[in-house]
Amino acid sequence: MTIDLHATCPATAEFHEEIVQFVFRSAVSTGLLQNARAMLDAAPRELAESFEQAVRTSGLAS
Amino acid sequence: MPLKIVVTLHGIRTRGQWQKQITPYLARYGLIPYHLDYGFFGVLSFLLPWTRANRVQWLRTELRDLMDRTGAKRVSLIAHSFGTWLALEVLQAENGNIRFDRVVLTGSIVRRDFPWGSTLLRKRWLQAVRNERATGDWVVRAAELFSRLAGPIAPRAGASGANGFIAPCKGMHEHRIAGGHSEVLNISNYDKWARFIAYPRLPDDHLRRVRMLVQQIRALAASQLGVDVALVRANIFVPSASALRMIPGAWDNMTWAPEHDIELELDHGSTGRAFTDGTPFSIRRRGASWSAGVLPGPEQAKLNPRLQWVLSLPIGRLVTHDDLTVAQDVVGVLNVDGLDSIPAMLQTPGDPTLKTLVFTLWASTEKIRESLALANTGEPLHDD
Repeated sequence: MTIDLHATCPATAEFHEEIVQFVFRSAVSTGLLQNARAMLDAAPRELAESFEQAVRTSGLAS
Repeated sequence: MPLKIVVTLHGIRTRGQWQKQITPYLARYGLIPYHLDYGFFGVLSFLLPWTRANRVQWLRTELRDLMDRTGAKRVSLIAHSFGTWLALEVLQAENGNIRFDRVVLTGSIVRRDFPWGSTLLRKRWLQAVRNERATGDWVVRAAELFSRLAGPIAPRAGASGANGFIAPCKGMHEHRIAGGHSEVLNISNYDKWARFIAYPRLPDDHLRRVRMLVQQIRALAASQLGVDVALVRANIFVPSASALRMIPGAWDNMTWAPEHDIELELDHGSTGRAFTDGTPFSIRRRGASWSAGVLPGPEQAKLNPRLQWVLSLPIGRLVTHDDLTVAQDVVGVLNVDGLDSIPAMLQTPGDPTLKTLVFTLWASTEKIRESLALANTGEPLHDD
């Protein structure tokens, strides 16, 4: 999976640097899911369940 | 968030006993009931165009007076039978001068091809509709039949209270029960109607779950960004009356009270962009102030002066389209933000740990999405 970061407002150079869009390209990779799950290891159960529900219902892991 | 006034309107051959019964249910969610009564209106009166027109004019006057006296820009509505027809005749006749917030139709005789999507929800003459219909309602079918047979003297009526609307659209919620014309006025529905109208104010069951998840997301963000959790906050913005506003109470560590009333344009700043684009955005403060164009002056003045950065996560169904993962059917935006300083990770947006963190926080909003979607239709939280 790759993530592109786009500055999204062309108005000024300063503004250009300040607002960042996180663009997630391609289906979510196994690596990212593993890293995300590791990040949630110490998190409360409800948060991990919410994450897994998103992965399951969106088909991101398929 | 302004208090909501709820106008109730009865049907024909009744004085609306249900209007009195529903008052405590509305009060429970901080709603202000305003019961209208146009007297006993018989079937013969309904058949005559001039008596119907007389009642339409009466309702226009009542609503204008109510809005003038209260200063309300919109009112919500619960109507039954002929009351549904009256209310939508007024809405069309006023051409945007009178606007509704959230509307509950029960035993509706509004025509089934009513142009919700093309003329109403898009023009924001109203925000959302819950159509409570009964499959065995012969009264609304009789109204539709009369409308077809009676030609020019007939009201433009339909059996939407039995068969629903032909072209539902975003903001239109259909609910069906088995039963007849009066059974939709079942007392067991009143709580759901009150919840529906009170949205985006969340009832306790949804608020408890949403607040818990917001707290957990804030804590995870702080620990991964390596900053003091006391300097990290979280809140949720949802669309309400043509702007994005914070859901009262669905926040954590938001102690700067003026911020609770911030109104954002739908595409403004990182919150607005996340809402419209369906992808996460972050924004950082540079120098003494935020860049021009991020927030209009009066709204910027409400910001906590210590605020340094915001990460905006759209709350919607995550899907992959055309090689992009985006949130679809976005119901709001979860903002995680911070005071006093900008974490090092946020200053290097290409950091792989930041990428993982943004994705993890974003996907973890799923149960918040579920609660907001249910609350938006008036439905309670189901057990997991």
